Amino acid sequence: MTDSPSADERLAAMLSDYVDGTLSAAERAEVDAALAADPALRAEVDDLRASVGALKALPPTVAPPDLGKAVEETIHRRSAGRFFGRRTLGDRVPFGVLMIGALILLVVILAVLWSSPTGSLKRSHEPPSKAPGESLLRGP
Amino acid sequence: MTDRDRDLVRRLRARDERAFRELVSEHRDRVYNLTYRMLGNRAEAEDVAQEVFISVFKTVDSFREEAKLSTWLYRVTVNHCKNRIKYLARRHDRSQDELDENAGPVAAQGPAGPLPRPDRAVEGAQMERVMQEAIASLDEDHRAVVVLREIEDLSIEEICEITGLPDGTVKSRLHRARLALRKKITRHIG
Repeated sequence: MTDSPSADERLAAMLSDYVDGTLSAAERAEVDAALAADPALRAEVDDLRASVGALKALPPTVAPPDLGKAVEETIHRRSAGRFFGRRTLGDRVPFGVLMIGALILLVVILAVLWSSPTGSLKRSHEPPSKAPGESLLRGP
Repeated sequence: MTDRDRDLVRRLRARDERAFRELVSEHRDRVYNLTYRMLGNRAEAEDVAQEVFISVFKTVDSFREEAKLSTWLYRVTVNHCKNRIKYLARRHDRSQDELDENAGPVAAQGPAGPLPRPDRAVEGAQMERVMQEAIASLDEDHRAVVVLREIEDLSIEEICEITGLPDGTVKSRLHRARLALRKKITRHIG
């Protein structure tokens, strides 16, 4: 590729800019003059405009909804799960599920403590029993 | 590059899965639209779009933050499409020459707006098919330039940045591609 474009390339670039409406006023006047003198060039510009119009009329496409999931699965499969950074528990399990789990765990711990004979949370209403031999030591 | 993009790139480099989901969610339609218009086949487009995101995630460490993230993404997408076009041509894959028979009008996939009248919808679908065939008849370099300019609506400067070509070359390719397309369209619809 050379630094100085050929005359054809220059004309092509100018016509491209002309159709896009990005020429300066002086350049536009130059192309207008050339068009007025050359019906073939006018036909070429008409063709360019028709082409641009047809392309611009194409509707945008929408990616399949599961594209992201498919990509993630491919990455996991190809890397055997080592590609993404190590995920924390919070990344893998929704926050709500974690909260429910924590509440259930708390209830279980409280129930165990409640029923345990050594670590009971129950307040005893019975008077403490005297230790064996206590009365003997005190005497009558 | 915006602060948001910079943050996204930083998190992508840390192999953050949530950052990856953000990237895909934000750019998937853009990437898919480009792959579909360049390849003319929905299955190929989806496959290449997947490869683009995998490639971006794998090579994000080499991304120099001089360009916009979207520009880099376009560059990766165009390169993947060109490679796929060459690969399909080498394989003489006949399905590449035929348009996706089941594609129908792309508008049927769900772009916003009211439904067109049936006769106009058929006309639109036929026109789209003709256009897609015409695009597919261009070589990969001309195809890339014309799709980026007319369909993605990018400026010449952006296309130069994506393709690494000088201004004059992009414009002359655009000119030749437009004329070639016009000839193809005229042959089809008179």
